[in-house]
Amino acid sequence: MQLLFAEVLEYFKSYFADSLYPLLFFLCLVLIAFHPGAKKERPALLWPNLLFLAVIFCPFTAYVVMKMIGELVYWRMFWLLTIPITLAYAAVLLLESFSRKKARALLAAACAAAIVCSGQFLFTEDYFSSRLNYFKIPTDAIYVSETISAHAKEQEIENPKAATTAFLSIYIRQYDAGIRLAYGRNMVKGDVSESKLYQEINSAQPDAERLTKLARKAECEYLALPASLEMDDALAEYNFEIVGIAGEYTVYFDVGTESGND
Amino acid sequence: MAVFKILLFCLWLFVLPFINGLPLAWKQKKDSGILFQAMLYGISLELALFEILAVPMTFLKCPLKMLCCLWAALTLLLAAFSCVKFVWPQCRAVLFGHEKMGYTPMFLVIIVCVLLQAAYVTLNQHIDDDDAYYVATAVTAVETDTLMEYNPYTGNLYSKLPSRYVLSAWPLYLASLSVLSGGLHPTLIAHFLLPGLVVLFAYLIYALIARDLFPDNRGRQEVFLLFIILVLSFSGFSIYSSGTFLFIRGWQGKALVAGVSVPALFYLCRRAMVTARGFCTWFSLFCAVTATCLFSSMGVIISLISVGVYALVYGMKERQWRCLPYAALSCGSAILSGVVYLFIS
Repeated sequence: MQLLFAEVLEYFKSYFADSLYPLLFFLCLVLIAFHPGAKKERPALLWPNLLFLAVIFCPFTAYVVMKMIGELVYWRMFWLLTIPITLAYAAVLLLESFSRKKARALLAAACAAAIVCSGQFLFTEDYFSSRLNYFKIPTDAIYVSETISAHAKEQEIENPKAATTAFLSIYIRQYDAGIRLAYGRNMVKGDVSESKLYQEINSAQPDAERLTKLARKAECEYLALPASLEMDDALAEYNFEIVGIAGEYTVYFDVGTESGND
Repeated sequence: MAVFKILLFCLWLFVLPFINGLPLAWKQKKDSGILFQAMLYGISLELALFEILAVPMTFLKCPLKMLCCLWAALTLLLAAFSCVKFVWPQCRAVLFGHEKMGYTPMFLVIIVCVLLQAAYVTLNQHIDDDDAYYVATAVTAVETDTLMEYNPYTGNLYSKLPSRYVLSAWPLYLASLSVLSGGLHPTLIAHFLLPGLVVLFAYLIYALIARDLFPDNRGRQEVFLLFIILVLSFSGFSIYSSGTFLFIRGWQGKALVAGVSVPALFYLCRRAMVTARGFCTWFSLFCAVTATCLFSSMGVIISLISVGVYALVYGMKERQWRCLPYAALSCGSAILSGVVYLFIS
């Protein structure tokens, strides 16, 4: 039980990081609990939030919920707390306690400063970057997908299968789900040969012989590799010809598979 | 052609939900905010309808286009009914009689801040690896005309349905929007069109909460909204906070649970139990709970605890014991989802 409580406490720390929002939230709950003007809203803001906290930290409910949703995502239970509504309501309550306009303006500025200093601004480069395209996926993924699907159409290959780096694997099927992949994100549940292929492609310098052998075993017609690896000649030796240059990637087609002489 | 697709997208996401939400909003206590209420109730109703259709159809391995046709037909039928019985006779009163928008300087500041935030999340990008599942599921559904039959990571057929995701059909809703808007790419809808709209929708709910908390006091409502904007803008202290999820991953179901469902459930529970008791409010709460289940499996737990706690508090504090059975009924879809999940997992 103590371990479970300690685990929830760790989630609490991760959720709020080093912000002072929990302290502000607590102070606002105290204000709502004792301010006569907040009596009407106590059943909506005070008691539910206290009960949410009780449910989240109670080892028994935590155990049940963790069993249902998984331990790793238990921090999502903190979403239950109506922090923005409570903080904003408490701020209005506080401002309404003063009748003089100047006092209100000063207090409003103080409340705003407290929020600004307690939290961290969200609209920064930490979370956002400039848009690369309207799909908001790496442009190389679009180029690679279009190169493969155009070539597959020419060759009359239905649902071509490709293998590429772990990075690009995440995005290819967000653009074109007609392309099958040897493995998905983080190599989730694949067979042994696909797992070896994953390791080979994502190694610092893949071995062409091993790579082509594993790609054929996984029935991949296409390989998309970073052009910086300079594997054109090495792969050509094993009948993988260049189909096109797609951004910083080179797309190869398995001629051997097509002619059946692999 | 692109303009036509965007217009179709707006029809399914704004016009029809608004028309379908008006009767529910009108039947409730006519205090204020009927236009915003109509939007909230209409979207909740349509999402709930989608979840109710999508989950059994996924188990029955129906094609995506069949789901789209059925959902579109029911939505249009509801809209036609709303128009004939309600919207046409009442539209003058609704549009011109009850909503008097005054443009105070603070109101304009709020509008500008909200629009800036919506524009920022639309024009910039946040790449998230979880989309390899969520967005790829939508793209795969459109490509194969199936409902979660293929593994979105690889494109291989699933040997069995993914129990953790099958009860939350949000990616299929994205796929349906893509089909019904004439082929707008699901990734374009998810990454470019939705994030800003979700931010606007979240603030619409906060505006309704402001009206409910401070009825007949426009000044307090505006100060409340300004502080909401400030609190959400400074929620970037961790990648887990509900504010961060709302802004950086607005197109994912779990972000909608964190940023939209939680305030919507707060608003609807408070209305159902205090300010506007009645069948329509409880029905709207049922729709919101079902929509939360559509967003994410986490939504099942969140909505059950949320509605349960509000019902318990109002039941005990206000001696409104009648709340409890109504609350249990409005959580019917979440309870059913939870039970089905226990069986299939």
